[in-house]
Amino acid sequence: MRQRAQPWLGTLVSICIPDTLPEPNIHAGFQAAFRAVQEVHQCMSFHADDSDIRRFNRAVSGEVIVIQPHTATVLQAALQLHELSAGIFDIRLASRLAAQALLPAGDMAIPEFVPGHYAYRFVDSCQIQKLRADWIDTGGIAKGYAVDVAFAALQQHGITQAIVNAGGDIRVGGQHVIAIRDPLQPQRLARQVTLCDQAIATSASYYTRAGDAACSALFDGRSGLPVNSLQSVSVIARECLWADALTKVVAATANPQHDSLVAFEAQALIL
Amino acid sequence: MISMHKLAPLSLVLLASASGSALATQYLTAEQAQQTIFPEANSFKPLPLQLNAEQMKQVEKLSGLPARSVAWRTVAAYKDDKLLGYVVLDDVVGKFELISYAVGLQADATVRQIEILAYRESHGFEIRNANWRKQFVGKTASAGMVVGDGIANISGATLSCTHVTDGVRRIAAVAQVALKK
Repeated sequence: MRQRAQPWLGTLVSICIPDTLPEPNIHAGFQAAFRAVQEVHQCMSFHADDSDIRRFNRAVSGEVIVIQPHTATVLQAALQLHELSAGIFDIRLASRLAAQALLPAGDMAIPEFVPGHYAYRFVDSCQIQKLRADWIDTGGIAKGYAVDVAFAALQQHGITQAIVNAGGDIRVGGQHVIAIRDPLQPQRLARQVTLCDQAIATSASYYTRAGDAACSALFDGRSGLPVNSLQSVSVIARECLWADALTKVVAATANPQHDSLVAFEAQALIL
Repeated sequence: MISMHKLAPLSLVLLASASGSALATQYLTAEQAQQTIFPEANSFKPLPLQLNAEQMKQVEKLSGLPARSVAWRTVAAYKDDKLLGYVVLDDVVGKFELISYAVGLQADATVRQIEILAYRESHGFEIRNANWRKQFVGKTASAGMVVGDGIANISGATLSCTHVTDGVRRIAAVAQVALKK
């Protein structure tokens, strides 16, 4: 297999494709897949001034914002899972992350997170109206989506055997063995799973914990409180977007059989 | 969006042997990275890049980061006699990992492409040990490293790569100060 990696979405994105393909196909496949990840990054970066997310967060309540198709897909999915999970999944938790300095607030005052509200509604397929002075952050779903679009780009180049990994959120084409980190010693591997044309995503707080102090990037949208668990949650689904987003629901409930998994035929694994 | 296909059954195996080794992935050698970033180039020439005190100050002002180093490993890319741009090689150390990467710059010193050359992490305290790091810094092959499973095959919580992004920002500033024509 041939591997390349680039820094996107605040982490490393690595792509692995067979080296048996002709050299021009390998090059074109990598270029197209990384370009797709770059597009998702530019649409949904929390930091970049011209991203859709940044423009939304700077907008005032009532304003209508034109968004890119990538952003629209992710924001539709976020609404869908917000409803299916009865509010556990909520991209408005951005303000809670910013309050913990896990996202930069910059020069703006951090809005208060009030559970049970909607930040936006769709006016049409590429316009949303801001309903409240909330911030949103797609960090809990967009990495999975970026993996899916990179994977689709490879498929469009006739590459079906592949591994796309955005900071631990993975989709495979063909059959591949994937290892899962040990949540108590993340430099060690605890388990392995065999995936076939599936995706896996893992959420845990081991990289955000500072020493023994609890500092979790996982929050429960029902309360706005952090999920302080030493466990790690992995979700396997067909698409990486759902695997990524569903890890937050399973982590908040500590329930590997949570109802919202059923709609996506997903399976969860808590270590 | 909802898939109606049946998922294959999960096969879970406890990892025994692989859990003891450090993890490393070699993505590209420096030469492969140069060719990947500048596929149209037909020659690459080493370009010794030394910053003076004034340039160091400018780099810190532009990037908002400590300039860190006086000397930068730089290669100029050419198609025949035409300068296409530059590739600057660097290593950054994170909490658990050491990453070697290449920043491709256009001839006007703007960033063209970033490629990771190698990723190495340790399960022990080596990452904070200067002697352990020294065997890798400035080299692009994972010499002396026990290579475990490829990083492409590991699922885990997202490891932030802020130190790579900061490194790129610093190199972009170095390029503005010392390479821009």
